[in-house]
Amino acid sequence: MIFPNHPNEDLLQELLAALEQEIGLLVLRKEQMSALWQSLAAHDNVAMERSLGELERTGAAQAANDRRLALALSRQAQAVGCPPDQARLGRLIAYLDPQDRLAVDRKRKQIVALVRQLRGRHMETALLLSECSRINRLLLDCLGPARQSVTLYDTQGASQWRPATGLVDTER
Amino acid sequence: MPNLDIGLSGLQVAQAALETVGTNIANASTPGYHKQSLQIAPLDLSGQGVTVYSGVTVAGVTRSIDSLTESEILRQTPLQGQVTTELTTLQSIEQSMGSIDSQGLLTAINSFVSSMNQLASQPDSVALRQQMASAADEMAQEFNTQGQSLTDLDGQIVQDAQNTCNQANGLIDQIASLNVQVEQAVTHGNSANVLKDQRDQAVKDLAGLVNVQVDTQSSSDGMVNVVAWGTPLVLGSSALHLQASSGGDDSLILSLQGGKPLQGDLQGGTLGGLVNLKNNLVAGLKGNLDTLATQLAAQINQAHVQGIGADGSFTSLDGTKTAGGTLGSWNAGITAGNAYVRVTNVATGATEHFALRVNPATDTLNTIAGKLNALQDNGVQVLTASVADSTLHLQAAAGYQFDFSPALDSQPTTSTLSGTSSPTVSGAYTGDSDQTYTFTVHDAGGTGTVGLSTGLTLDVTNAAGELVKTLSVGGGTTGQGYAAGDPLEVDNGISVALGAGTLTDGQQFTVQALANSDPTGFLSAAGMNTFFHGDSASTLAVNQDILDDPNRIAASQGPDATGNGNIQQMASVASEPLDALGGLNPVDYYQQMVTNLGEDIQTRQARQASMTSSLQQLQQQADDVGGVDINEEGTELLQYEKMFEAASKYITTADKAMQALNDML
Repeated sequence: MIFPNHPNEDLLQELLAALEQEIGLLVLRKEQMSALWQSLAAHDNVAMERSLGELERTGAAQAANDRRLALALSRQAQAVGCPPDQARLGRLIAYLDPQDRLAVDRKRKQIVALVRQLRGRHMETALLLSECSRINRLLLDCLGPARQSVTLYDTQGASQWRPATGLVDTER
Repeated sequence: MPNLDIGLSGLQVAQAALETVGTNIANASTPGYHKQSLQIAPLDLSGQGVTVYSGVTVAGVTRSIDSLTESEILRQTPLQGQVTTELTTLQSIEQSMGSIDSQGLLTAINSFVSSMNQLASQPDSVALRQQMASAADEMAQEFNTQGQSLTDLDGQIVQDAQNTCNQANGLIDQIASLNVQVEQAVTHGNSANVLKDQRDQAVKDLAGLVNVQVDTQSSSDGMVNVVAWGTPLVLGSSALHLQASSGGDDSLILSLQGGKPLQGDLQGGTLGGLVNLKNNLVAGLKGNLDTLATQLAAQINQAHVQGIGADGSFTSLDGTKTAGGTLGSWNAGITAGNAYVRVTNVATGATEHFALRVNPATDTLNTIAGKLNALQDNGVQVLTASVADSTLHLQAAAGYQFDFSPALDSQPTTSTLSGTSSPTVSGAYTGDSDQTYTFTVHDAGGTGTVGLSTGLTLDVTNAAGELVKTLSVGGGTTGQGYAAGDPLEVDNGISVALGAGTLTDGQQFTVQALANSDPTGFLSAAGMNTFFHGDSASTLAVNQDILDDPNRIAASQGPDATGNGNIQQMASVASEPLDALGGLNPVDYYQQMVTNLGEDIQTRQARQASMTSSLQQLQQQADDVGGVDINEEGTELLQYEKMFEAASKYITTADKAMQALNDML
């Protein structure tokens, strides 16, 4: 392997720090997604709102860190003479010293695994959301069956649907 | 694949959560339904006790129930049930009795008294006699109506109690059946919340009927035991049924079917109210009404028996049908003593009182008839008494008449006088109790001449031997002596006159004065010349002979059938306080009955209003915890809708960011 340029130590540390921060944020996001998922399953509106808030704040922090990571990658690529259109971490590793390569690669693999897990959690949550939303809509139709798509029965089995009733029962 | 297992557990829990919401919404109007909530627990899918892959599972579905409030509702419901039952019945009684100011029995009593007062002012008036008979008949009918109304109510209460027992037994069966279903659900790990709600509602419905206590502590299988008045009604899966019946003393008895009567004070619930009504409230009213009717009749009869109608004394007289057997068994309060029959010799006009010894313990109508048949005037049987169909019939011998007047005989009762002067008794005895006056001649010379001999006197002593008076019947020292034949006042309305002639020192004559010719009550009880007959408010009636011939009204006490003394005495009954009526006169007694009933009703109205308000507040409190508010549920569902939308948007955005990050790597 020819190493035309030795990477700047500072740049490396900057990259490692960004990667470390990314890992931390991904772990946090994963926990927060689990909490959101549980609150969805439990139908806990308050917890849901709290989880979403936390995820948004974490998301914002991660977006900032992603920009920092992109900048660190770009600088590193420039320092090691890697073409800008190939400034991906997987390719950049090849330009590093063996000992630095190990550290960076370890973190890269950790991030890749976390991203895969997080995207899997996204999918589960999306499925759960879809089902909850469907049933929720069904229940709302029971309360205000404007489309007459739902029939209610009382304990004696007689149909109990009252047409043109709204959500608020002014008789109560 | 842990991720799929995690996802599946979440879907299952989400569906269960929404199913719970759906159940709440569907049962928002179901009586007794308590809002349900899902309890979520983390799930260890790694199987190693260390939660690596965190799924969720349903830990349980709980009822939102305020146990303390529900217990208090269960405690107060029987109280309200009882007071409502009592109030409804008492109000219907009040309507039938009428208020103090309205038409009804009080008006009838006042009309009857007024008719007696009017007759007293003109005792010879046929029209006023007719009026009195009619007024008495109307009063009797009012008594009958109210008495019968209370008797009918008694029967209705027993029927209501039997129907209520049937209703309670249905609920008891339902609770026992639900116990079984709850136990099966609990054993199999299924939710029993809806079953428990149904069971709680059945217990609450039962609490309105009987005074229930529920034991939930002793069973771990979800079953409850239900007890009423210390007697088990539901023991696990066993149901014990109630029944209502009438006891020997006409009381309402509650018991378990095939078991002994329930003991103790059976308060609480509709059944407790019916028991209290039958055995205390209505029984008390009936007793009071019967007391009023019988006491009024007894007082009127006591006077009427001893009076004389416009047609004078009797030549024959029929009594009323009695209960038969010994006089004591008639339950008419007959006491031992003497009753008196006054017999008049039509030819001479002489009257004589014959004592009839009455012993209620041993005498029957037949033995009394025998005693009456033994009465003789100078060896002549004066009366023929016979008994047919438990009714006494008296027939005077030819030339005689009879009555039961306590009026004074015109001749002394006994006499040892051997002189030529004869005493004559006159006046009307006004004493409160029977008395025998002994007149003893005193003359220093041994024999004195009435109106002439100085110092000729009569010492009058009473039965106790006390000197009542000394009558001077000789000549005066200043010429103002006694005039033979002049009546001299003795005591208590009695006067005696001495005819011209001689009296011998030490000789005596007696005068028996009767305050009451029927102190035993036998003549009244046998219906001899009574005004009323009947032994209760329902059976009170005017003697038919009087309704047919108002001349039979015994307005007079006098021996010649004139005068208004007896009708005055009868009229005073209505204004005189009677011991049997608690020291009140009949009119005040009835007014007090109506007033007390009104107060009972007012008290119960206040209690019912207070309890209704309290139960409403408690129920509201319970509903705040366990009730389903459709608006609240709907609002929550809308909020979920918003959350789901926000979460969906977030996931879409976040996934894109992940993709971008992936591209950097």
